[in-house]
Amino acid sequence: MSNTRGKEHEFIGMNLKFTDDRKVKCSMKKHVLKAINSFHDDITRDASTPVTSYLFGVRESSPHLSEEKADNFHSVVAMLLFISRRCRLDIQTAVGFLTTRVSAPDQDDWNKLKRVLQYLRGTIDLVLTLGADDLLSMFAWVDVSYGVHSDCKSHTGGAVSWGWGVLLTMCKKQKLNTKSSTEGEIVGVSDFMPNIIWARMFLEAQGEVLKKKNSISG
Amino acid sequence: MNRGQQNQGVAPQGADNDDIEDRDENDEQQQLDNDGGANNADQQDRNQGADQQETAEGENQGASNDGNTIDSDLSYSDDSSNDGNEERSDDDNENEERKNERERRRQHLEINTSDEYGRGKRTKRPNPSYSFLQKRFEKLTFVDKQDYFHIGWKEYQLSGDTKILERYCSGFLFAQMSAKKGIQKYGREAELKLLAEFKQLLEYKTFHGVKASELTAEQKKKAANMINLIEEKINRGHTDDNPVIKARSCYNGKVQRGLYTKEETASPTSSIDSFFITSIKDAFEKRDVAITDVKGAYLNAKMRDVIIMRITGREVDLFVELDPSLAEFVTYENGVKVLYVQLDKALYGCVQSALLWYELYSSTLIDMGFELNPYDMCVANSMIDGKQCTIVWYVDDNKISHVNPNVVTNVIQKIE
Repeated sequence: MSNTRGKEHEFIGMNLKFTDDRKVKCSMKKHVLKAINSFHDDITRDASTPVTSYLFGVRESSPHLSEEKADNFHSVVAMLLFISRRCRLDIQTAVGFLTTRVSAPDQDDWNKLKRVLQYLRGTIDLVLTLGADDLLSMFAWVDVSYGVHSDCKSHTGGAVSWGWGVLLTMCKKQKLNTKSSTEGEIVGVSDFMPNIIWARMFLEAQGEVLKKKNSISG
Repeated sequence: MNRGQQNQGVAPQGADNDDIEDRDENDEQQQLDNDGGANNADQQDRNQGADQQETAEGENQGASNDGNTIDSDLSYSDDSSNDGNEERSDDDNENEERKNERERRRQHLEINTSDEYGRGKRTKRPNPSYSFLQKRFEKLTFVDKQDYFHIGWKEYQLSGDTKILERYCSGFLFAQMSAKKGIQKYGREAELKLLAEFKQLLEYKTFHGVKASELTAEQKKKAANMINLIEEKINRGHTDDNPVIKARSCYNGKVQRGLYTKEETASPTSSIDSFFITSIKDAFEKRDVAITDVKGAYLNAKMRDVIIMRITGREVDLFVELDPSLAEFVTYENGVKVLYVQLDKALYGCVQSALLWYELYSSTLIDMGFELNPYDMCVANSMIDGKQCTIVWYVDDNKISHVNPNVVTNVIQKIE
């Protein structure tokens, strides 16, 4: 039985660092490096943002990737999905879109993925810092972008926080078509609601009963 | 080490199945033009080309029945070898039937079965493990190749099985032998790791020998092979270039598929979110945190069912060497040394191992006075000295936190 004590740990692939000001810092540098290295193209420059404004755009004219490249695309996106679910929430939007494209990626998707990796290269030392101002007050946000995808589906985003850093995030394309932004919002809230309820229930079972008034913003 | 016999035939069988499947697919989807390697567009072009050729040739033959046949045949096979083979036999009796067939095939090819995303017709991919082994073999130095066949010959002399020789010759062995491959890559180090793993198995009394004569034919048939793997791990301070090597013995759980329902085998794991929430709480309350892992986790859990495992090849000798009492259970099957054992503990690979381990671990914690969180069954809490102690575990990795470091130390010792 081996164990680590103290302030710095490694747990299921994440590096944890507990700081003196009641925060915990999580990073997955090794996995990020692995994703960058296993991408077939060389990543030689840094990008300042993970995505550009045309992320959701799909052009018919863009040529499909060869089988070998498509395989590589799939595996790198899967690695990024793993990373983005844990420590690098900033690439979730890009990964959320790219995961919808893995079955038939084209050259545009390849360039978009490259952009994400360029961003990661430049910001490889970013960590997710989590902390709480008050354990008993929870904040939750849900929002929906109506009809942004090429098949007119909407995109849901949501997060839960205790004051510093977010967790329980959701960033994904909606599964059904909606006719108006209002309807889209409802679908989004209904998609994200289980996370909020679960967080509340979980914390109650841990012995922290939340205050009656908690803010949920839409 | 165990060169030769370890899980022979697993990969080749798989490959065979693939072949058969592919053939079926071709029959269904592509009828007679079964050139799996090319993609759709290619195939269409090519076949249309072939069609034109055919027509031209047909006219030729109509005019003069001899002389041209050989030439046209050649041009054919250049363009599309498969079609050429098909047609050549029918060449002499060119008739209505053939024209119909050609027309039918043309129409069939014109139907675009793939949708705009390129789905639809499946194109055959080369088997990666297959190409890998061939590439690997080509890269070997002359001495290594010599050594490789030398081992093959030894193996053959030991077992008297000509199949083994064949497999060595065709280079197939690379794909199957995970332990062998590891040893080839890391040499002595990997061998030692494998030995250490075997020692651990015996230490934990994972299995006891069973006399082959006492087993029914059905039990023997159902018994699965032991698989030995060499893993490269990159966690705990190791990088991609300098991986830690780990040997792992598994039960080939493939034979168990279908015997159990999901409820009997599914086990819960902690979600990443509950881990984050508890971490926030730890940080907020300034707790002392420890990460531990339970050594040989699964090997602690008792196996409930009767499961027979078959050990073959070099491993038999190794096990007998480590534990002489196993010697009486060794038998010979088709000239190969075989050791049948019954599992007493959950071994990696059995489908129910994860659940058995979860049940053992959670019940241990409950006995220690912990309460499971109903919303995540892999989080347990207990009040110790008036403060909460939380354990989050992910298979055999634990995060234990309490305000007082001494309490954490105590808990770790208790779990051990």
